[in-house]
Amino acid sequence: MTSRPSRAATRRLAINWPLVEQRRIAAGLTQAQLTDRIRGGALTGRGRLWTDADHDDVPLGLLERLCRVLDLHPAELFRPPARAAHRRALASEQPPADATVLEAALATITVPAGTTGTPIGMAALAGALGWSLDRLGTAVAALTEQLTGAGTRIDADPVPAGTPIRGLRARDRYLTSDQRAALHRLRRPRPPLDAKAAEVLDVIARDPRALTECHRDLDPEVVIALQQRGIIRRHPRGDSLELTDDAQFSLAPGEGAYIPVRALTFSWRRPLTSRVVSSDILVSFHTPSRAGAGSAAGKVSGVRASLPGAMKSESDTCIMKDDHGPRFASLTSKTRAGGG
Amino acid sequence: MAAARAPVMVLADPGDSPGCVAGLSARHSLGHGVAICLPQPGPGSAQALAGDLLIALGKFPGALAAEHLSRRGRELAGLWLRAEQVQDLVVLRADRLPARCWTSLAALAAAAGTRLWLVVHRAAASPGQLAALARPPAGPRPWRAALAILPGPGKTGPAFPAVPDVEFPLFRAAARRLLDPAAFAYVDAIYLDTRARARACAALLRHEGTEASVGERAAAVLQQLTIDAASAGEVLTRMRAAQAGLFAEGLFLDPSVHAARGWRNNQPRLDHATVTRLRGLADPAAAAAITLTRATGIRPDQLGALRCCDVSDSEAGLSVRTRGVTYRLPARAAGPVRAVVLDRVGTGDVTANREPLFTGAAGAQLTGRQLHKLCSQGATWAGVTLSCSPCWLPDHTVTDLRDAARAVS
Repeated sequence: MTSRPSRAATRRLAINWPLVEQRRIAAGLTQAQLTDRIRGGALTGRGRLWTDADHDDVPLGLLERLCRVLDLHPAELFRPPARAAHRRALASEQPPADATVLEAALATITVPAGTTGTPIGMAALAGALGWSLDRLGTAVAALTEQLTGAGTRIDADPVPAGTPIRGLRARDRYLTSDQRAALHRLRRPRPPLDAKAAEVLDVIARDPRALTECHRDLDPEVVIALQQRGIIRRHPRGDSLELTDDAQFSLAPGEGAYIPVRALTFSWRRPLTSRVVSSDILVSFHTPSRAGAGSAAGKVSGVRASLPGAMKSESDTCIMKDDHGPRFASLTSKTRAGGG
Repeated sequence: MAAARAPVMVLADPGDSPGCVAGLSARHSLGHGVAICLPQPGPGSAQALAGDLLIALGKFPGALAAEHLSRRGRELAGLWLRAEQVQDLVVLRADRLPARCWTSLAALAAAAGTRLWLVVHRAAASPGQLAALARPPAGPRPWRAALAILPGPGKTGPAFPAVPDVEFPLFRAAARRLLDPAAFAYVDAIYLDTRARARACAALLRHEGTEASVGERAAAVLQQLTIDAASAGEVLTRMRAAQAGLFAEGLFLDPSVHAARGWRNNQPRLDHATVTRLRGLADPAAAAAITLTRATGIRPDQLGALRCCDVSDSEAGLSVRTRGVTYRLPARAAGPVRAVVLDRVGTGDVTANREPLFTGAAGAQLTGRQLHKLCSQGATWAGVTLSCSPCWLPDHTVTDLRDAARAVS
C-alpha cells in the first residue's frame, strides 16, 4: 500500500501577498485600515497576517472580506499551484503580438458612450504597458494598419479615451495583471504632488528609517498617495517607509544607496560577477555622531564583503562603491533591501 | 583673435563652377560665426550691398524698407555683423562688385573683427579692386582652400525625444524605462546638468532681503534653467530636473499652482524657429524688445527701465539683471540684445553705462506704451507671438521643506 503524500505538501495554496499589498495601496488603505475593514485584527495581528506563510486556519469569512474590500476574485487571492503555474508558463511561450496587446489595452481604457474620459498620452500608455515609446509607436503603427480595413482610426496622442473606439476586441487575457492595474489607474487622473506630500517625501529621502505609516504626525492619506504613485514603499520586513528604487534613481542620481549601518558585513542580493568579486570595495560613511566623514576599505569574498569596524551607530549612513561605481548592498544582521 | 588673422582673403574660382557656390553656401551658419553673402546682380550701390549683407545676417529681404530704416543700411550691417559675432564673412561673386564696395566691405569687416573672404569667379581680381583694399592680399587662393578653414556645416544633433510627463520623483526612472538607451543618455545628460545647476540656485531662493519676492526669484531661476530648451520635451526635462535639484536642497517647487499655469505649457520660449524669425528684424530695438519679452516675460514698462549696464555678456550667452533677479539668454538668441547695446554705447565698456537700453529718436527713454507698440509691430513683422510664461510665480510656489520637516520628525 502506497502512502499518500501529505495534503499540505501537495495541494496547499499560498496567499498572493504581493498582489494583496498592491491592491491595498491601490485602494488607498493603510495596513491598519485594511485590518479594521476585514475585521481581522484579533486573529492576525500585523506581523502575522502580512508575513506569515501559514494561513491554514484563516477563516473563510476573512478571506471573503479581503476579496470584497480589495476587489479581488477569490482565484486571484491565491498563488496558482505549481502545476498550474507551469502550465501557464508553457502556454505563454508564444507571447501575443504588440498590436494585439495594444488593442486589448485601448479597449480597456475606452470609456462607455456618454462618459467623459481623460486624455491619455503616449508616454503614460507606454508606462502602463511597460514598453518603450519606440515599441509603442511601432505597435500603434501596426494596429493602425490592421484597423484601416475596419474603418477605425486611432489618434496617436493623446489616446482618445474620451470617445469610445468601436471595433476593438477587448481580449484582456493578453494583458498581464500589472498592465491591467496600470491601465485602470490611467483612467483616474491624480492630483499633482503637493507641498504636504513633498514634506513627507523629504523626510523619508533624508532618513529612510524616520517614518512609519503609524507616525502620529503623518496624514495616512498622504502616505498612501505617495505609495500609490510608486514613490515610497513600506519596507518589506518592517514598518518603516523608504523610497522606491525608481524614486531613488530619480531623486538621488549618482549618489548610490544610503544604507543605515548596524553591521559591518554586506551581502549582495544578486550574484556578483567575477570581475566585481575580485575587486576591492570602498565604503564611504558619514557619522552624525562624529565630525567629518571617512572611509573603510575591505575585500569582497564570495558574495560578502567584510569591513573593518568603523561604523557602530544605527544612525550612521554609508555609501558603498567598488571599482565599477556605487552599488546597492544589503546588511546581514539588520537586513535591508538592495540590488546588485 | 581677429586681429591676428589676415583681414581680407581673395578666393579664385576661374571655372565659375557650381560646386564653389554650393560648397561655400553650405558653410553658412550664424551660430558658428560664418555668414555667406550673395550680392544681387546690379551696379553695386552701397545701399544694395548693405541690404545683401543684412540678408546674409538673417534679416528678411526688404526689412530695411519695411521697418523704415533704409537710411541706416550700412550702419546696421556693421552693427549686426558685430552683434552676431560673425567670424568669417564670405562674399560670393565679389568680382562683380565695384572697387568702392570692396573698400566698404573691408572697412565693415575690420571694424567687426571679421575675416573677409572675397570670391572672384575668374582667374584673379581686377587691379582696381585690389587697389581698393588697404592691405591687398598676397594673391588669390583656390576657393577650396576656404573649405578647409571655415567651420564645417552645422551638425544638428538628434532631435530631443518625447519624454514621459511624470512627476519629478519618478521622471528619470520613467525616462530610463521608456526610452531607448541612446535617447535616455541624451536626456539624462541634460537632466543631470540642470539638476546640478538647480542645486546651486537653492541659496538664491532662500536668500532674504533682496528686492525681488520669492515668486519672482523662483521664476528667474526657472527661466535660467529652462531657457536653453528648444523643444517641449526638453523644457519638461529641465523643469523636472530643476524640481529634483531644488528638492535635494530641501525646497519644493510646485509649478502646478493655479497662477503658475503659464509655466506648465512646456513650450520653449526661444526655439530655433523663433530665433530665426526674430533674427529677421533689422531694427535692433524691436528685435531686442521682443527677444527679452519672450525670454523673460517682463512687461513693457519693466523693459523700459532696463539700462545698458544691466546686460552682461559671456560665452554661454547674455545675462540681464533687473529688480534683483537675473535672467539668461542663450547664445543663439543673444544677437538682438547685443545689437541694441552696441547701438546705444558702441564698443565701449557697458558695465558702468547707466543709459536706458531703449530710447526714442530724441534719446529719451521709451515709455511702456511705446515699447508695447514697438513689440507688437515687430512681432507682426517677424511672425511670432509675444505671449510666454510670466516673470513671476506666486510666493507659495516654493516651500521650504526643512522648516516643515522639523515638525514631522
